[in-house]
Amino acid sequence: MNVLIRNLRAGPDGIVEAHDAAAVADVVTLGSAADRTIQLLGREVAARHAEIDASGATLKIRCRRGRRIRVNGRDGASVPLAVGDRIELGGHRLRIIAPPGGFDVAIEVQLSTTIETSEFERAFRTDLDQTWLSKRGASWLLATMTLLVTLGVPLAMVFLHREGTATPAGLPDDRLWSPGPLIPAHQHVIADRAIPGHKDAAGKACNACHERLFVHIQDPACKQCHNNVLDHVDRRELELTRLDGPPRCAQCHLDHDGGASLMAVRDDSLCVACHRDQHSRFGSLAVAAVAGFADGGAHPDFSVTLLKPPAAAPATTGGTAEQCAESDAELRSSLASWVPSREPVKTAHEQSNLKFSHAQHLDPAQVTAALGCADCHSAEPDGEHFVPVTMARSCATGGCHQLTFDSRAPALPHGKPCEAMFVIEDFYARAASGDPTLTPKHRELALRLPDRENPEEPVVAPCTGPAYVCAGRRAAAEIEHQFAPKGSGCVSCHVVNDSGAGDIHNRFAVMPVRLTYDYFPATHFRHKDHLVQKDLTGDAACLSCHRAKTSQQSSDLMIPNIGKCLECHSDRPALDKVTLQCVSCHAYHPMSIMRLSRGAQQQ
Amino acid sequence: MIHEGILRYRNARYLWVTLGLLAASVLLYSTQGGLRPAGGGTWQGYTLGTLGALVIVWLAWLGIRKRSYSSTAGTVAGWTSAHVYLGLALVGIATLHSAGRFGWNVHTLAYALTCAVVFTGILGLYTYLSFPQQLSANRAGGPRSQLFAELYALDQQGRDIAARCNAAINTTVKTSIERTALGGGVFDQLLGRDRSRVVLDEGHEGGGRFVSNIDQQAVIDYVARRVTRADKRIETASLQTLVLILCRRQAVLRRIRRDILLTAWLKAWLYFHVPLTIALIVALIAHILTTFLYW
Repeated sequence: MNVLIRNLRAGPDGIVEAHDAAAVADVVTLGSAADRTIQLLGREVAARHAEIDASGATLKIRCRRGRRIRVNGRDGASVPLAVGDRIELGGHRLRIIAPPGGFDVAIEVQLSTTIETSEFERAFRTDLDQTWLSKRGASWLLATMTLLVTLGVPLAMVFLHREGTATPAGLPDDRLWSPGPLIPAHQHVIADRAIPGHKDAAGKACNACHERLFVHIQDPACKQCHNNVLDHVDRRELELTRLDGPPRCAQCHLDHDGGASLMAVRDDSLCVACHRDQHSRFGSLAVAAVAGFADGGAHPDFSVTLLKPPAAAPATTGGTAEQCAESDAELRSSLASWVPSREPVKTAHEQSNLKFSHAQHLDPAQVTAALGCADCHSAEPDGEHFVPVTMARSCATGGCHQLTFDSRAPALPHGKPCEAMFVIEDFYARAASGDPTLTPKHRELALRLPDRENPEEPVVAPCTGPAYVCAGRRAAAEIEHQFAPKGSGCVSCHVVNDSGAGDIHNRFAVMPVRLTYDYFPATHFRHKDHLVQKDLTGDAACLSCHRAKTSQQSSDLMIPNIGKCLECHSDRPALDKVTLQCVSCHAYHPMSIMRLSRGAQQQ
Repeated sequence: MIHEGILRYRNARYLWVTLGLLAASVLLYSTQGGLRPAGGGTWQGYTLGTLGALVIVWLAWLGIRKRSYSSTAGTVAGWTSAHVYLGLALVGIATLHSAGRFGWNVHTLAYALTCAVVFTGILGLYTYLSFPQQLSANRAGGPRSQLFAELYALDQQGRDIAARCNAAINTTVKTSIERTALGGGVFDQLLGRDRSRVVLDEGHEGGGRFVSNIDQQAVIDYVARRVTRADKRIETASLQTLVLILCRRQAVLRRIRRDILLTAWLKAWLYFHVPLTIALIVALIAHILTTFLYW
């Protein structure tokens, strides 16, 4: 269609002049863009604002979406036009006038004089705010996504799991809340989740331990599996103190660190916080104050746990073979009634009922083959304790100590004193009767029976009476030699009570021997870690702590005191010291007392 | 100008505040390792975490506050300076809080978002420090609106003169003006892409069709070639004036295009900085809440 556009402009003299321009277009476009048929600038005018269409029967103005226009004082988006109608847009005024001949439409345009031409910028998108980029939109999107992924969906999963509802795999769940991987031993707790499409609602997930939201993990959750761990303080002892109770497991045992080394808090301050002061918390429970392990008396002297024999000593009574067997069995069973006793290292004495001199056995001049520590003491697989020393394992090996009193006689049974007496009597009775089966068995052996270099040497005066009387005397003399305090047989190593009774069978009572297996049952000490100490190794390393070379008596306690440890250790990092923590030696959870008696079982 | 002194504001007062805050945080961090291994769960970790969360909230509030020019509490330069330095300190505080323990979890997400927000902030700081001078030089002192006013005037003059020339010239110049593109989409603005087009007269290369008119060179070349071929002196004079106007128009368009490009870069970082900050605040809430949901 042919369009006449009449621009009314005020000339320099103020008189309005009309400038006509003709255009050929299907529609008359309005807007601030340069390609509009009628270019109108201004804040309220869009680049492409509206179109006047004359294609139909009537003239009509249609706005682009979201735009408005005022026709004859009324706002509208799509308005039919007739000659004489006034259109207002952003201060500009347009009027539909009667088209002169040859024109289909005529529009009179009077531009606003107050609008700056700089408003032309609005015809273009010159700011990122006018693009699809949106701070608000992106903020909403990211915030919603973050909220759903980190909280919304996982929380829904938690409630579904707890109700026992299976949830689809692949959706974010409460594992997203885990601050780090569990230790491998705990991985099985959440392992079932790996099965696609299935989640065990019975607790094989985070809620296996985290039973309630916003509540710390409680001990029952731990004790579902760890049900055999003893508390630090015995319940009865706890009642004697003013302590509330042991802390929660999870206060010291922290998971989600990704490493087993961090599973237990090992810091000294945890122990010292309670144990620093012996009076305030422990009530009538006698607990020594400990402030640390450094030099300067922060840690009390050591106390050892020694086994003490019961007050009533067993008597050897064996008139008959049955009584004898019973007596020997009683001797062995009496070992179980030994009681542990804690004593300061400074004053403690061993009471093993064994006569033994370490100094003598380590002196090459006094033993045929020079002995070392390891000849008798071999470490247990735990590296901490030693295989118990026994007659068979340690004394009789290498032919050192044979229990033979005559080269023709069988060896005496060890640990059965009553039976030993019968063996002696039997031997001499057979010898007196000229038993041809009695032949020297041990002549070639180097016997080292104490103070009897020659086993053939008679120990009694020659007997002139009947053979059986002489045999009885000979046997009694040998039994006395073995057991009497002045003798030198069994009594060389064993403490024997001599009642002086006339009946030789009821006269002697051999005190049972029990060696301490674990001097510190509640603490760790790995001997294996101490086999090399600075420049010491082998026996020298052992002897640096244990004064065996000067120990003449078995009552000597060769356990060093804390001062020895402090030569090499401290609780604070130091250049020439190995740092120790409380838990390096002490177990927070009590170890079983069974260890203490283990030695007895093996002797 | 705001940008000139934000780092040196009052003898870099906030730099010293930041360094002090970081030193205190490092000191606090170094006291860990006794009772529990270093991490967010120790009392030092909780303290660092609380400090970090407070800094995040304060920085977010500051981001809004410093844009409120009606505020009388402090200067915009002061707020910006504090925002920049404390934002940088936040990375240190957050790292110490995390103790370097990362994983695929909500906690590391909060840390990653913190780093992303600070990183986009650093990009913003770079643009604030370097682009305003370039913008100012490009605009030769005036505002952008002045350039558009000039462009509008040149458009009108160009149309008027072109209307007096022959139809081919008129069509070409008119379409070049109508089809001059400025700004546009995100990448048009950021890359300064010129999508201007022009209809060249029949018979010429690309005749009668829209062809690319990048930097208005096509229309200038077209009209300039016509100057030598003009028959009448009057027409020659008109064409020369037209070429002059088109060249002036080209210069103005170059300035405007560069202005749009620089302004876009000056603002682009905010389209990441702000949404990431909002996401960070949500992640931070999730981080804190989940810590206490399972603890």
